[in-house]
Amino acid sequence: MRTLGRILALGLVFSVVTALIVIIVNASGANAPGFGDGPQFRPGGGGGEGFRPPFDGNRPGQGREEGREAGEFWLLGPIKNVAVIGLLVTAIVWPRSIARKNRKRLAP
Amino acid sequence: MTDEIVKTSTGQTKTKIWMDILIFIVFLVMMEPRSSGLAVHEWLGLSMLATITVHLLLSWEWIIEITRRFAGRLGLQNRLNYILNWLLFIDGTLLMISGIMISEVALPYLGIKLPIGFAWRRLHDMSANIVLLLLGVHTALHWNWIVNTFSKYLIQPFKNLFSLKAGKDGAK
Repeated sequence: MRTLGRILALGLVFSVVTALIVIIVNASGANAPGFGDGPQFRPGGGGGEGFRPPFDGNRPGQGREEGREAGEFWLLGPIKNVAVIGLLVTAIVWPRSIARKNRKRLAP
Repeated sequence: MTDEIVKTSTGQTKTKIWMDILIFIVFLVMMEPRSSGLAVHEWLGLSMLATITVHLLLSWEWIIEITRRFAGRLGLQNRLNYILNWLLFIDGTLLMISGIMISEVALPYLGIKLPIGFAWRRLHDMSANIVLLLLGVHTALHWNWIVNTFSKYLIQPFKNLFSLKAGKDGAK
């Protein structure tokens, strides 16, 4: 019962954040066709279903448009992401560890 | 860091570390939809709702305790961690909602049609990159806990298993 209550509380917070995001995005006008330099509305395309920009992976400038086959380099992406996380961890943890060691050494 | 404020049981800590490993692996797969395929990307994304809920439920005491203490006396690291976790939650929600809005496989399969929004794909890409950075900082702030828990519940039992085996072999 307690867990259910917690799940409901999380759901409530999630719903509030979701509602705020949707309101902000719609109010900003960013969802209107022709916003920015992104894909434009294709008239007559899809029989009234509207136009969804084609799926092109997570980041533009990577993947098929560079002639890279997904099958060949599938490990590069996860390695790069792990490297980014590893760099951040090193950049934060290492100086703290050095500072702690110095503090210990200087302590009387 | 969680253990500094709230004591957790061994079982809970074990569940938490396995859950975190699972979330990390799923996150890495999801960050490369080109490799995994759109269907896997979308279904894994929806399943992340459940795993993140469990992750938050396992840290519930810490969340409540820090929320109570936030206005009063609280260490800088816990304060930073709390703010970062909120940012991660908001950005994660944006990532999930924008993903649902641009869904091409999972939602149509469930028979759900959503209005087309032109900003959602960009927001999805942007929030994915921000989540990666926030996850890096989140991992760094919990680094001591990760190293200690890994060593205690994953590496040490493995070592003990081999030393036991070696001991038995030596006795023979």
